[in-house]
Amino acid sequence: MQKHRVLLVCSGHLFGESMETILRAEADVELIGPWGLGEEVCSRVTEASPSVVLIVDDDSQSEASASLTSAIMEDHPEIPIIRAGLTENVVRVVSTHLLPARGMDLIETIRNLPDAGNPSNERSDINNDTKR
Amino acid sequence: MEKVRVLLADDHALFREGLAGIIASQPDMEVVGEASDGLESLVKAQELKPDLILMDVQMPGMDGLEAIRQIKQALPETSVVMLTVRDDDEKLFEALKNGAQGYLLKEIRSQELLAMLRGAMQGEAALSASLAGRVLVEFRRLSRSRLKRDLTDDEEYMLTEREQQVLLQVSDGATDKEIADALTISLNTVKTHVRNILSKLHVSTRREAAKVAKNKGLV
Repeated sequence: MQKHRVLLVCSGHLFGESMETILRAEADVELIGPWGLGEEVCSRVTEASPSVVLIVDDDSQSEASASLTSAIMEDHPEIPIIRAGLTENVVRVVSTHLLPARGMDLIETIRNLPDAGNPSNERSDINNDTKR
Repeated sequence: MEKVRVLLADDHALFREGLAGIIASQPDMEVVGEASDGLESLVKAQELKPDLILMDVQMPGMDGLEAIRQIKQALPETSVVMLTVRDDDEKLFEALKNGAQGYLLKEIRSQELLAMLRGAMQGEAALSASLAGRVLVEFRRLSRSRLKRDLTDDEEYMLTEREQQVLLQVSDGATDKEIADALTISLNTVKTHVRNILSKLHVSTRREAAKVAKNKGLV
């Protein structure tokens, strides 16, 4: 079974520990970390080689979360990032896709993007609905 | 071993799910239900009769503060501990007045949370040291307000507002010089006020005056 390598970066508070509990319960998830938000995450990402980075902070839009997201996107655009926090009841999925620089591919991608006003994302593998 | 039966009430589904996993992993606890708002928590509490409810403060519809008030009326034996991101004195005090056994912030670590919950089941207050300190400050403030109200209302004493201020300082053990500095009045004025206070309270010494203030609930 191929496992999803999930790098968990969190503040060390209860929410981060809760996410660790959820991830460890999944057989197809290989958890890397948790690493602290203040640690030098970007410099260690290459070695960790995650398939996704999950950033958990009480405030999902904190400066720490935003800075880390930007830095990872800059250095590792191929790695999707998921941000979760307590201040909102959604998780944010940030990913980068590379397209051939052709008009037809660009237009097709625009047409297939999910509705920005709808938090449910067909393309997201991880969402805020729980499996019971 | 009988497990502590826990109901989780929080509108953040992801947090609630993870917290349920943490609690379920404990040998002495089990999650018997979950609720996503205050009204649902009230309904489930009456249905499941949990030993302990972990309640968020801010929830849609009925918030945690109103929910705990109603739950404690219906189920006085159920312990309710608030678990919130909000470090807010007003909500803290209202939760405690409504019957909360504790008020914890979500920045807490799981080990400390679990220790606090076990303590709560033994009758301890689930409060961090800093929040406990703020509760003490509020308690003293309320005591002083009550003294002021009592002394104002009691015709036998009829202390003026300034005399009340001086009496509070006397109760804290302040010297005349310290009172003068604190209230920005002269030393002679302080001495006059103290004389009047002793007369009105029908006592002879500062110590006796402080005792009267204590009996009125100041200290």
